[in-house]
Amino acid sequence: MNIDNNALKDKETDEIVSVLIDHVAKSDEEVKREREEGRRTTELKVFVAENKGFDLGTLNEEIQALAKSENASKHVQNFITEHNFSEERLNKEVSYVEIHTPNYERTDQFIFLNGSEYLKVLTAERRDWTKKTVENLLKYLPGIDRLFLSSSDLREIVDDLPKTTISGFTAKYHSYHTDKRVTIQFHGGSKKELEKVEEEFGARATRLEFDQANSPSAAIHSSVDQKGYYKFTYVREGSEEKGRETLRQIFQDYEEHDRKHFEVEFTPGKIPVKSGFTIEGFTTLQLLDEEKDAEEEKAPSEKLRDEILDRKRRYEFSEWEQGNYLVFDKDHNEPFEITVEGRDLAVHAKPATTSVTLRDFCNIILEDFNSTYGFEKASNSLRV
Amino acid sequence: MDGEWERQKREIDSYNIFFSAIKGEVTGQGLLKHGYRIVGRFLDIPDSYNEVEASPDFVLFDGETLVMVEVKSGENISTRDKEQMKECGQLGIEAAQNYLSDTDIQSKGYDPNGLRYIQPCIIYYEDFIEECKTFDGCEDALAELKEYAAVLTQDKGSALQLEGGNIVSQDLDDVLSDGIPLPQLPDKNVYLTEGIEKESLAVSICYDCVQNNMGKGRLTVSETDIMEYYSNREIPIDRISDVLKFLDDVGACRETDDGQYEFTTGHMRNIVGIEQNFEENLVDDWLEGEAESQKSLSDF
Repeated sequence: MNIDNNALKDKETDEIVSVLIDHVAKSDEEVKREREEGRRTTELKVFVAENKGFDLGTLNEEIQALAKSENASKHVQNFITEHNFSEERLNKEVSYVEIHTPNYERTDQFIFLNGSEYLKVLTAERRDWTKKTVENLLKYLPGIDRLFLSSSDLREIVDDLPKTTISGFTAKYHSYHTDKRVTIQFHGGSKKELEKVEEEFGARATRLEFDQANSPSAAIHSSVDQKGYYKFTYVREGSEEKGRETLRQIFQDYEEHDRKHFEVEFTPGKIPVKSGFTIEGFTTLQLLDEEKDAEEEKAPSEKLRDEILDRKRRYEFSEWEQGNYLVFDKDHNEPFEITVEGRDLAVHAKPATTSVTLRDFCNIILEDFNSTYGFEKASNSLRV
Repeated sequence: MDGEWERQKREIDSYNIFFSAIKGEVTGQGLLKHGYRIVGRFLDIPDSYNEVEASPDFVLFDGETLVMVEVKSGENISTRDKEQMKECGQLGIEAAQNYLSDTDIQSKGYDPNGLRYIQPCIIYYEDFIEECKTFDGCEDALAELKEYAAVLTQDKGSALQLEGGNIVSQDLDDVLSDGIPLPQLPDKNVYLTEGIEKESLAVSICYDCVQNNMGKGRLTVSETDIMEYYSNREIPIDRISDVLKFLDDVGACRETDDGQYEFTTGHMRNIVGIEQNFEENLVDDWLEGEAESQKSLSDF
């Protein structure tokens, strides 16, 4: 797909998004043919990230600052040297971005859509390329943090959309309890089969594929992925408006679920009052182990210390007492605290802790420690 | 001096255990759930009519009852404990209402005139109270204390529980008689002890002040900055300068040419691990040791 940036200049945001959706509009015959031939087709991909300080129109300055930064890793430096970046403003909330890779003579095209707290990147480039280009850019840009959703979030998002049927999924299981690792990709798998996989293997969905009907037949085929990633495989010709609605709803749902888990509404910051001070409130994110009978040879708290806190270079930590870790995240320069109760973890925000630190920690825990945790946040004001 | 840091830690833990009893987020139950919120810590509430000034560790309010809480971690019931509770109990409703009117609790929807009861509470560690009951002198002191305040016990993984004494509000009496469950591991919101010993000050500087201000990857502070940061505690400047010197000694920061102290992410391992230094030596031991080694060098 070729984005004609000149044609999109000064257009309304809705119009720009429509043009992109039109690219994945296909006739029934096209869909059928593509399916039979197993051809790779144009798909619209969306990456969603929390935005805490990146402004549209400043991409080049940000990249230059990153290149000069003393903290930039070798990966970051190589990424910047091996690519060229250009950004053109299309309107107040949309930029057209090109990432050029001279070694492969490639130019990848992206639409950056900036809301008040979240940035969305839309593209039709192939995933192998987006991983090398824009997904790295999102990882390295300061102030940008890709979303991370739980498997129950994915289920809720799909269930909340009208007339959906699950039509495939990826589910994973791994845990510090065991050497067993499971990854199941089920094409054409239904909700029933997903539940079976959850039950049998303790696996949790990391991606859900689903069809959406616009009577009578399936009009939209798309998928939601744990890592703030959404993909339109196709929208049947004539259902483009439905596609736009779905995308709007997806954006809203991704943001809502993200806030529900990771937004730090209250911190235990001190507020001076008269001779003393009061405490603003607290935010605690609990990671609850939903796995039933697992055998332990080592306490979960020791496993957490040895396998995550000790191993990840971004964390410095100390153990106040067994199972109570005071942690500093050097990637975000923020502290937080962990208390381990049985197999559950409670992550407590400190005055300077923000959503990015909590989100990244949960991502690491689900990916590298135990895929069976669910999230539950408590956040309250404590002052009268 | 073996065990001095352990003693401080037990005191620090006692405040944090009580703090968990307010929040209740891990156990699903807490004073917050019963409508109590924090008016403040280190408040001095004067009552010129009754000629008292109440200064409890925590003041909580639910719109009707003002709870004045003193948290203890020591191994005795002192006359001061009794005096503190006596003063809290003597505080007049009107004086307390006047005090509350001057705070901004009205903007949060609380009416100072709704205040009905003033409830002094004193909290001890559970194991201490158990032991206390086996000594006549201690048991007598405990009985006397119960005339002035509700005596509560607490411990990690146990409950905040009424031990004895009168609770004026029936609702609060019910809640505390049943006991509020406490987590096995309370999170840390307080690092400073009442006596602000140098070790606890060092830990508080590292965890409260430095780690929450590292946004730019570095923080430079002077002795006066630290003094201002703890403005409600009146910490002697000598103590602050000793602690900053100690932090420099153990590689948690670097003294700059103009006498300030710079903390960077490069120091973070030592900042986070500051407490480990106290397993063997206290701050003064470190500073003396440093002075000794300098002296022996200059002797050559």
